[in-house]
Amino acid sequence: MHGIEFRDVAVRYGSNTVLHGLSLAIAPSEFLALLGPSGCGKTTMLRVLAGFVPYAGSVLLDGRPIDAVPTHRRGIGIVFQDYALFPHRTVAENIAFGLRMRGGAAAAIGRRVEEMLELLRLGGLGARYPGQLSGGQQQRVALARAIAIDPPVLLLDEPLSSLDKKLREEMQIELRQLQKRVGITTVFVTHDQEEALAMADRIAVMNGGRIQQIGTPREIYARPANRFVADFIGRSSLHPVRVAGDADGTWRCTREDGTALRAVGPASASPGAAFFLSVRPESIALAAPDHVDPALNVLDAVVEDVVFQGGVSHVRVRAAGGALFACEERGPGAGRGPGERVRIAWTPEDGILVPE
Amino acid sequence: MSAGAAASGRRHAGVAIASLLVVLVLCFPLIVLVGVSLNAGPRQVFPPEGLSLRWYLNVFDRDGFRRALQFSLALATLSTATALVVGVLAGIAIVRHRFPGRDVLLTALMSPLVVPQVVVGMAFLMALSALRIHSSLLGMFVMHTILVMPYTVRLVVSSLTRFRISLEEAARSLGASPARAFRLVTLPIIRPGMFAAGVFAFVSSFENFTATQFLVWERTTLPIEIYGYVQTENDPTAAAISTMVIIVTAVLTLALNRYIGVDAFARR
Amino acid sequence: MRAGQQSRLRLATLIAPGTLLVAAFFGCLGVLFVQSFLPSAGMGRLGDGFTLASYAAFLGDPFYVGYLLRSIAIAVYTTAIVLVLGYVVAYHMTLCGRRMRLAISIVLLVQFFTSFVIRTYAVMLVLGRFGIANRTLQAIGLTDEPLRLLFNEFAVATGIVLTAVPYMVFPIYGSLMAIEPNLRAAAESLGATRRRIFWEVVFPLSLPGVAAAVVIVFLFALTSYIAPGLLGGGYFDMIANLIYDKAVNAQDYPFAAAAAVVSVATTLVLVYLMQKGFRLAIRGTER
Ligand SMILES: Nc1ncnc2c1ncn2[C@@H]1O[C@H](COP(=O)(O)OP(=O)(O)O)[C@@H](O)[C@H]1O
Ligand SMILES: [Mg+2]
Repeated sequence: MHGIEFRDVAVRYGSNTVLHGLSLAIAPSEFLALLGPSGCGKTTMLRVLAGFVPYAGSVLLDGRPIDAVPTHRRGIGIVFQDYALFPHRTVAENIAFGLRMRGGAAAAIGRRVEEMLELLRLGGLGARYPGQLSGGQQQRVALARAIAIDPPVLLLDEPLSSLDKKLREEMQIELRQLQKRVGITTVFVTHDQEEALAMADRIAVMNGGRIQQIGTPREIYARPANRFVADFIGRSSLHPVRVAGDADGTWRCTREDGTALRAVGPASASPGAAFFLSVRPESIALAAPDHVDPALNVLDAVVEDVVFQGGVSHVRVRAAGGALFACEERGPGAGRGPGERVRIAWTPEDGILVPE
Repeated sequence: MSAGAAASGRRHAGVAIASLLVVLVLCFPLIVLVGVSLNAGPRQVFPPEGLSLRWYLNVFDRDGFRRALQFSLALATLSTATALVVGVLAGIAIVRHRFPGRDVLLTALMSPLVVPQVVVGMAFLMALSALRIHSSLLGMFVMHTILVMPYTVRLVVSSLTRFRISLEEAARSLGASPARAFRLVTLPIIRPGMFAAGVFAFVSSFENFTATQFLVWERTTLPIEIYGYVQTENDPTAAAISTMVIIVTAVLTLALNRYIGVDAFARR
Repeated sequence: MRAGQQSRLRLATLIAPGTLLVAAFFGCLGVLFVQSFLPSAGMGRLGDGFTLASYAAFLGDPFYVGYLLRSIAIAVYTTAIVLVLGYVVAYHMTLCGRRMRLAISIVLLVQFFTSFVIRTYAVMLVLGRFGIANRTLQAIGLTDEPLRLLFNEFAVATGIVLTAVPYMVFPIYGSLMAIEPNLRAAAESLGATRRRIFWEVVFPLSLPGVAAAVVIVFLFALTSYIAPGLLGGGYFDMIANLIYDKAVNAQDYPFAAAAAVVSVATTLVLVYLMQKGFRLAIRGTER
């Protein structure tokens, strides 16, 4: 299996720098998700890897630079966002296309095509044209075509974004299982954080042409490296705070209005430093207005609004001083309504200090 | 759509009658032309005085028409083929590349459409004589290529603009060199547009009269020959050759409809 | 850098043939422009030096300017007639069934593709002394003598109108089809009558197509050569006939060139004014 490395890769369109010298290593057989808002440069990363755009820096496949290798000799499998199935070719011809470019015996190509149709549960559709398939089927044909050539790396550019929610969730599982079975190194682009969290071995969070954080889904979720990641993943409440000092493994810090809170953060933090306090909605407990617990961070608050979503209710509260917190309550909620006085509480370990 | 359309069609009976009347009036001269060509007698009258195909035979007996037809076909074929190649190359540059002067080039390639034909023809005549070029054949070929180029450029540009570049990229990622990806994927997909471009270009070269008449001292084209004939002669031979051209045109139009759909084509 | 050079070379290869042809085209037009300022030595020969004599000869003589004015006048009213006829057909095409639409499209396209010489000749056959028009008029007793329907302005205008209609229909049809169908439904639900829906929704939104088609037809009509040549028979020549005659028969290149320059300039000004007017009318209808 094959590993990839980006070294100081930079891309600019005219005066617009789209990638700012990224470095990133992807291990053999790894499933890496590139996650970030639209326009942050995810597709550009894939296009660099595929050799579609000129770039500065270097891309290595198995330790060897491939910068001078043109696209058609890189042999990288790509599933395009719009699938890019050849409309004038049947499903079987689409899947055979890459094999024919490599020039194999017709019989061998036929066998490989059958194998792919089988693998992706496309049996019986070989003679159809792409226009005659559903979105999910087209997606599988695109996948079959990309992996038929047995590429060292598979690139997927938001492959599920045009499917409806239910089909998308099915395909997430299917794709993940297929990747594990074939063991192919995969770079998966998405702007959907849940998709990235559910599927990837590791996630690279991007913004503005820079990688903000690389880590396992759990790391990214529990220990966001900066304000952008904390904000982009989940529905954290973020508030500016200053470090006041340390207290048994956690940091004491103060909000703008002077309230003191405790939180975990980088060991390098020093008193006076400015951070953002990030708290996940599910970490915040809503309690009665007279609740007290010295081990917790506790704030007085007023309910702003409640959105009922079946299994959970999203409750937004405004704490003293005006800061908004997003909270979650399991079940139908305690029938809370706007204006109700509550207290919100969370443990020091659930409050994370992140830099700007 | 159809039920609603039928209902509103009934409600718009006035429009329908007026429109069909217009279409009929447009067709009527051509019907007369076909009738005249079938005359048994030597007069150009309609309805024909007896039916015969003698004027059709007469077309082939006359060297002038035969040679003009041959030359027109050759000229239209050559200038269309050249304009298609030029149109595809320039179209790729215009759609796929960003370079200074791109809009100027596109405007310039389209400009022969807006310069009056009589001015184009005279400009070529003057240029040839200023350059002391005595043969008109090369000038005629260049002029026709320039005159039909706007059609090929426009249709190639619009086909390539609609073409999804990711298809070509997919082919390259699967191992096709850029040239092979263009041949195997891009070309088949823009082919209907190129076919339409070719038909437009061929027809407008084949039928060109006003610009061409300035350069006919060596060979004449069919429209020139017909124009001259109907001014001096008074028998249905010109109607016969015209009818043959119309029939070929109609067949071509039906083929176009089969291939890309006249409706899409009419709307472009 | 090597890659940059290579892609520049590829770009140059792509645009070279087109640029060459464009250069040839503008080169020829340039020759025409230059020669309009040269003195004529007769018989296609040119003198030396710079003179405005040809412009003076053309613009100073009401006889010659008359060709241009006549051409503008006939272009204006034939375009108006063609607009009405073409609009009716285009509008009908958006209302009728699929088969009817296909039939009309094919009829129009065959016309579109048929040589002007042939179509004009066909009109000549209808209007001629023994043509079907005259014979019908005599048969129903409207006239005893054959009328002179050919070789006058009426014949030329008829020829222009009949050959130009297809050019008017297609652009208008395109812009009518582009109108969101819900707009009509919305207008109807708001209580608009069919007449008001047409004048307040459909027609304004079709103006871009109308503008394009009117410019095409106007240019075509103004520079007609074949219709006056065959149907006017020398009794109603337009500006294009004058230019051809001066260039080829009189071999007075500078005069023909000056007449061409003046008429192209006039045409451009008229088209510019027309487009400006349409832009004003369209502005209110843009989304
Ligand atoms: N061909 C191009 N020319 C100029 N700018 C481009 C081009 N392609 C992409 N960009 C710009 O590069 C940035 C990153 O684009 P992309 O990688 O497609 O983002 P993503 O896939 O993350 O949505 C965007 O701001 C986009 O506008
Ligand atoms: Mg993208």
